[in-house]
Amino acid sequence: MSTYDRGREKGTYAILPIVEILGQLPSSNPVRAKIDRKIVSLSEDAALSNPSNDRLALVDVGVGNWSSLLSLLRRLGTQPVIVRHWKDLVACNRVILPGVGNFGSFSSALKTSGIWEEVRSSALHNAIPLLGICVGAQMLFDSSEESDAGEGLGIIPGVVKRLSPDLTKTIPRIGWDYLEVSRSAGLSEGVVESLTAPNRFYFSHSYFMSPTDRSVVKSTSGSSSNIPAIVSSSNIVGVQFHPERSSKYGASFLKAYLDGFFDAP
Amino acid sequence: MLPRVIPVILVEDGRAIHTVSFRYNLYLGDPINIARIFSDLAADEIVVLDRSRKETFLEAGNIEHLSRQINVPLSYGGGLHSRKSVTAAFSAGADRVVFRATCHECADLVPWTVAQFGSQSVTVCFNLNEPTKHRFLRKSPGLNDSIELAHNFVSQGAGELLFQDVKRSGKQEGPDFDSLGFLGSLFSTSVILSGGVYSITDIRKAVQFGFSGVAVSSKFSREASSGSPLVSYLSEEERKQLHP
Repeated sequence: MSTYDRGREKGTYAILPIVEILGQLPSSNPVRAKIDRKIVSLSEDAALSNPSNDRLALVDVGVGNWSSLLSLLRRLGTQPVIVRHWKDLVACNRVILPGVGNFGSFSSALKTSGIWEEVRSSALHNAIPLLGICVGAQMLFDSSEESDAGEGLGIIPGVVKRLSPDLTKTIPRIGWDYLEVSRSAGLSEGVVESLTAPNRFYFSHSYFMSPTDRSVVKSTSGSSSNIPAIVSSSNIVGVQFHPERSSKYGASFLKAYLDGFFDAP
Repeated sequence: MLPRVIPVILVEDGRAIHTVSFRYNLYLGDPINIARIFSDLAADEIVVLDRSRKETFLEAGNIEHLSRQINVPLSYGGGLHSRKSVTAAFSAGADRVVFRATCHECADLVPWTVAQFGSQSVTVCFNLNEPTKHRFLRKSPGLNDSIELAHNFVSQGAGELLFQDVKRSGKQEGPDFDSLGFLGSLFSTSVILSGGVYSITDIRKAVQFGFSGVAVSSKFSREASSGSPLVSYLSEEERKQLHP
């Protein structure tokens, strides 16, 4: 059965041709913005008509690089919805917050779009699974040394600190690394397998997550395994690396995450 | 961090080409197809450098198509002379932009890009040992001037430096470690070496000198004996030698 047929069965068939068109247009094209909005409204209808449909929101506030993540999520068989306004998040039951760039700019863009409050509320009060990537993961904390004015979501207590020479040879820290997975992390077998060497992951950052409670650190990287790579607290997960740019290893991690991050009790 | 082995795709007017000392073009094929193959071969990163005279690969909307085809990091350089073009590169899916150190607009663009997109998003590229085409044309800065310039860019927040030895480029003779090896441990940022890198021994030696990685063109774009276009990447055996 083709993707198109599967989509038709689930009632989302109207989105697929538009997604294909969207893929051919540059981001600067004004038609594309209209198509993006159309996708949001059509998929909202589809989600309402099919409550069991797993509706995955991919947040885009203009400073994150979401296109490569979108391609990967589609290859994994999901139909993500690009979300640029808080209203579009309402019907979602899973949120991914990708981030590239400056903490302050990202925080301010989230607030302007109203997504800041909506993400916070859905993750904290409605237990919606939230995955933050790179700056998106750093945004889960209270604040960052990168920006005095930028406020974090404050979902995981702690701060984001600047990397120092005792943690890494070069700053920023750019490149691939193996991960160390905490034995007491309680991660699902699939996730642990996807994180185990020779699988390696791509990092590109100058700041690192420093949670108040160290037990939220599920995996580390760095020569002394002292830089948090994955943090998690109940339905919230933050990854410092870029799964969308970590080749087949990132794809297998993301697939395992979508299948279930924690070990079933 | 594991050492990075980075294939470089040199683009001219929409075509991927191979050069020796930046001259004598050999047509390699479609840059998007080549990038896709590198991605499927799990390359550590892909650098696309565009030297088109008219419309760049970015302006033609092709970086966006290329970015969607790959799942490894992408750096893009070429025609980035304004804030608008830099923003367009990131919007198209580039993870990092590459500025040429001698570009007049760099003094403004490097700090601006750092502030907007972060240090890790900026690479500054230096062409060393570049032959001058005409005695009246401006010469590229020498090694000492390049080092001073590099320190300046690092203080402005540039996150990565790429040193290209033009004289060795495409010649498969190995890098000039005697003259350039010390660059690997001179800066607090990551430093990439390009020019002549051809064997695993070259790569391992570059890592020993402190380079974060090497940029490679010839080894991965041409068949060794005939010189015909052929896209390849590190074999599993070679990987094991680099990541024991």
